Amino acid sequence: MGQIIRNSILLGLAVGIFGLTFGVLATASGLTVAQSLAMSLFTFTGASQFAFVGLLGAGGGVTAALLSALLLAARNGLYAASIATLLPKSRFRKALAAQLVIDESTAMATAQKNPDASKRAFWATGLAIYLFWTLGTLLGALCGDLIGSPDAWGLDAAFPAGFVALLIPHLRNHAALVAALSGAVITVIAVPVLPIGVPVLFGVFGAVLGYWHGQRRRAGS
Amino acid sequence: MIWSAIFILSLGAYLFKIVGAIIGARRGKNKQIEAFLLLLPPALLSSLIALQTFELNGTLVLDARVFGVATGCIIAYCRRPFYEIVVFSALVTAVIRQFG
Repeated sequence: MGQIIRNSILLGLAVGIFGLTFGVLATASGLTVAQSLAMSLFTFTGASQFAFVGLLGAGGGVTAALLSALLLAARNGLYAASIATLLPKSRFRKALAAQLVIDESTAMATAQKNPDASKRAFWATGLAIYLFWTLGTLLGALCGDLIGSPDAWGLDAAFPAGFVALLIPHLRNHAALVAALSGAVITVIAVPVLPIGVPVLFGVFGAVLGYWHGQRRRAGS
Repeated sequence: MIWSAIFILSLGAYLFKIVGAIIGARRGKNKQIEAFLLLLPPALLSSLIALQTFELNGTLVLDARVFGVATGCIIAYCRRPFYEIVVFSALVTAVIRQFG
């Protein structure tokens, strides 16, 4: 219990620093403080938000920014379908919980050993990140650059490394191993070829290959 | 214009989440759908790891992140606590960036 909360707050704080950067970038690309804050409260999916203000700031136009951001948000739907049994049954609570379905909350939830721990991890991580991401955005949008780039602190590498730790418990069977490896390879191959937002969705093909592999092994044995 | 874009993005992002949650909850006892859905998090998370390690503005690059993530992998392999993985991968990346 204590460990789940500690890890959630740690992730929340790291995300909060990126929230600061998001606030700075959002206002720099022409959004008002209210618009930046509204994005973190209602859109609440970091990669999409960064893509949106990044493309807007680069002069890419609102429609292009919106499309890329929507593509990046699509994977949350796949996460939600995958962890649906961990979400509350009541409509009101399910509607609230759905907003918290992001990379970090899914990763923390699915890395736990039993459904109760998974539910706790989902809520703890989701709420910690919601709080710190929103506060960070507000601070960044109001005060500007307080701490410099998170990249200078190496935080951009902390997320993939943290996700590796959360991925390891998944790799118990051949199908998951195939899904993870092929998902990563397909995504890397897709990066130079396809527009921003699309490659990460190609991870789905990793799941398809893993599933196919699992079926074949079952048929063979 | 910006407000409408933010509204559409927020609505779209939420629809993905809630539709996924509703459809996922209706899967019943179908073992094959269950098996496929269980493979989505590892597949998507490893895609994300690959992107966050090697991608920059739509191109593939090798930079200080690779060393940080590799450090994190070694610490994770040694079954050390989560915070050590996060802290040391950031530290190694920051130090290499500083002197690299």
